[in-house]
Formats: sequence, structure tokens, C-alpha cells
Amino acid sequence: MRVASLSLAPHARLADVVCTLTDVHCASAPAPLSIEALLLLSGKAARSAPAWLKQRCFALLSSLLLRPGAVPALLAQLFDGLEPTSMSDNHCTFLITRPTDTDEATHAAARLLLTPPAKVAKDAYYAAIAPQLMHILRVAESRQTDTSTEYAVRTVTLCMSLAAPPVRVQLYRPATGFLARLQAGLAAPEGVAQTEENEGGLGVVAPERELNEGVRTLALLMKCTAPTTVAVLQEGSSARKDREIVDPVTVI
Amino acid sequence: MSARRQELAVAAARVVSAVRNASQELKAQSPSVSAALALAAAADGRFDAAVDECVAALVALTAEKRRGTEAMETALSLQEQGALRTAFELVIVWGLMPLWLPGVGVSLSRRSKAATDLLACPARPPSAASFARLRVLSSSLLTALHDADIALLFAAHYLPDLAASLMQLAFVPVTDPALHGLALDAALPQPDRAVYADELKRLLER
Repeated sequence: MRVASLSLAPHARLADVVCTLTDVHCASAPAPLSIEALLLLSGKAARSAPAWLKQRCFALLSSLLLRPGAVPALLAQLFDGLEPTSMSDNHCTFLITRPTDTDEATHAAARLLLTPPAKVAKDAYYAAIAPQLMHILRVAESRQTDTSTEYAVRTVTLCMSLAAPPVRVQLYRPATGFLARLQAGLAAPEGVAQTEENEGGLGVVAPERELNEGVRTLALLMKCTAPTTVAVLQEGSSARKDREIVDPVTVI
Repeated sequence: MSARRQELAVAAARVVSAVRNASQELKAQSPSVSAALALAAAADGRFDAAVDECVAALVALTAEKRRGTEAMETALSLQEQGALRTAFELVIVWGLMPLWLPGVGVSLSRRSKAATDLLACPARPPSAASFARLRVLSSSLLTALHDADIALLFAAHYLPDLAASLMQLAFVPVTDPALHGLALDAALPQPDRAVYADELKRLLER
């Protein structure tokens, strides 16, 4: 058993993630204004929005999410500028009936992300949002993070673990174990995970084979060209070995 | 910049300024007097007349602007931008909002101070006439947005309002209790509703 640390630097802003994505996909990025408008109409501004309106707003949001850069834009709208305690009061509450905590809000956001539009095949939908989810993880890893980015990462990892089995098997089979453990590390930082978090990263416990598969899949999905490192610690040892991902195909 | 376009912009600004001043005077009255005056103004069609004037000026300005070819002819001055914003606000607050069904759109109390300065126009019960007017106003606004500069100015502040109107036109269920038994199929045939759904999708994907 090994312990991997996917570092999340403490003060990166989700807005940076969106900016980066917008730079990359500028031509076809959806206007965040459209996303904001739909969120407003679905009940963010008026809690009494009728059911048919909420349903249509979320259906339109789902179809917007197919466009590159839309998922980070949505998560930025939901989570940006939040303090951990303010979330259930001011944001995301429209997504759920009775908001109680941030976990519920991230679950609601994940459910929204995992709902394909009516006329789009599940495979096509997941194929469109998977690179965006991975990009959030990648950017969060390479920059300093803030609370909103942490929520976004939580949402992404939740998406991985909540995805319906056939889809998950097709798209994420090697990565799910790795990411599910990352989620576990985020949700319940204890033991080794807690130790890792103190070092500025988030700890994940995974069998070596699964870890290797997960890292390789992440690299493939990210299509990374620049060297990226994933720190790997031997359990019970303080020795740290950075694995550099140079070529996504021959990695590890 | 063409003289005609300048005239239009000035005219729009004048209309907007006049109705805003009148509105503020009415609001200065006690709340009950204001409400009574608003009801009287609505009954006289004064809100509608002001909105129609603004819409006409907006559409004419768009058409005039699209005729220009040089940057100097098509660029909007700060004064024009201000007039446009106020005209949009007026069309939304006095034109669209009274026609929305309960729970649709962003209410006046949750808007900017500038918008809340306007006297609230009383809501209208749903009827064939109210849906017809919502169609006219939404279509006019969509026409005004054919110009990229104007569309940009509009989208930055008022996209949710037009989206709300199009949502209501395209998607409100015919059996919705808020319609109070209105025969929506007759007032708004299904093919027309599909057109508004397409317009909404296009608007959001711009």
C-alpha cells in the first residue's frame, strides 16, 4: 500500500481555473452570463421559482455544459468567493430543498453535472464534461487553492464516485478508485490523509496498482504535455518520491 | 456619426428621463398614494405608452446603427449607452415584469437601486392580451439585440429578464394553476412556443 498526495496549494482561486480554460477554449466558451442567468432564474434570486421553470433552467444548463469551459464556469458561479460557513446561507441553496451543509451543496452540484440533457446520449455528454472535470483537478493541483476551488474539486470527485456504473466503467474505470479515495481524503481527512493535508496536500490511500492506473488515466485525460508530478509516499515512511509524468502514454 | 442616429439617441434619452422623473415624483408620495397613482397610470395605459416609446426608440436605434459601416458611425457614445441602459430597464420593469407569472424572473426588490427607484407597475393577471404583449415586447428586444454592441450592453445586465420572458412564452405548462384557466393553446399556439424556445437557446448560446 502506498500513499499518494495530490497537492492543492492553499490559495488558488477558481476564477483562475476559469480564466485558464477560457484562454484555451476561447472560441467556443459559453458566456458565464448565460450560466448566471439560468441559475438566477432557477431560484437563486427568487426561491419561489415554479417547478417547471427550475426544470427547464437545469435542462438548459446541462446542454450548456457540453461546451468547453462551461463546467468550471458553472462551479465558479456556484462556489467562488465563498467562506466555508457562508455557503449554505447564500449560495447553492436553490439547488436543494433544505440546505444543511456544504456537502449537500456539492452533492447537488455533482448531481446537476451528472444529468445529461434529454436529447444527448450519455456517452457523448460524459465525454464532453470529463476533460473539463479533469482540467479542474489539474489546475487546482498546479495553483494555490481557496475554499471555492476546494468545493469544486470536491464536486468533481463526487461526480466520479456518483457516476452511474456503466458510464463510470467506460470512461473512468481506472481512475475512479483513485479519485474516490481522493474524495474520501477530502471528506474525512484522518490518519495519513490528515498528515498529508498538514503538508499542504490532500492524502489518498490506494493500492499501488490502482494508484498507477489512476495516475496514468489522469495524465491521459488531462493530455498533459508539461511535466507534472504526483508525490508518492511509502506508507510508514517519511521518504517522499515524486513521480514525474512526462509522456502520458509511457507514464509510470 | 449620422445626425439621424444622434437625434434618435437624444429622443430616447429624453423619453427615458421624462418617465423616470415622473416615476420618482409619484414615488415621493405616501405608499398608498403611490400605489393608487400607479393603478391609475396602469389603467390609463401610461406605463404601456412609455414602454412602447422606449421600445420603438431602441429598435430604431439598432436599425440606424446597423446601417453604419464606419467605426465612428457604429460606436455608441457614453450618453447613448446610458440612455440605452435606462430604456432597457424601463422596458423590463414596466413592460415585462407585470406580465410575468408568479415566481418567474427577478423581482424588483432584488434589483439595483436604479431599478427600484422606478414606481412598480401593477402585475397583470394572465390573459390572451397579456401574453400577446409579452410576445411583442420580447420580440422587439430580440430585434434590438441584432446589433452586437447593444446585445453586449444588454447581456451584461438584463439577460435573465429576457430569458425569463422567453421561458414563460416557451415552456409554461398549459395546466399551470397560475394561468387561472387561461386557454394557452389558443393564445399561444405550440409552433410559436417552439420558436421562442429556439430563440432562448440561441440567446443563451451566444
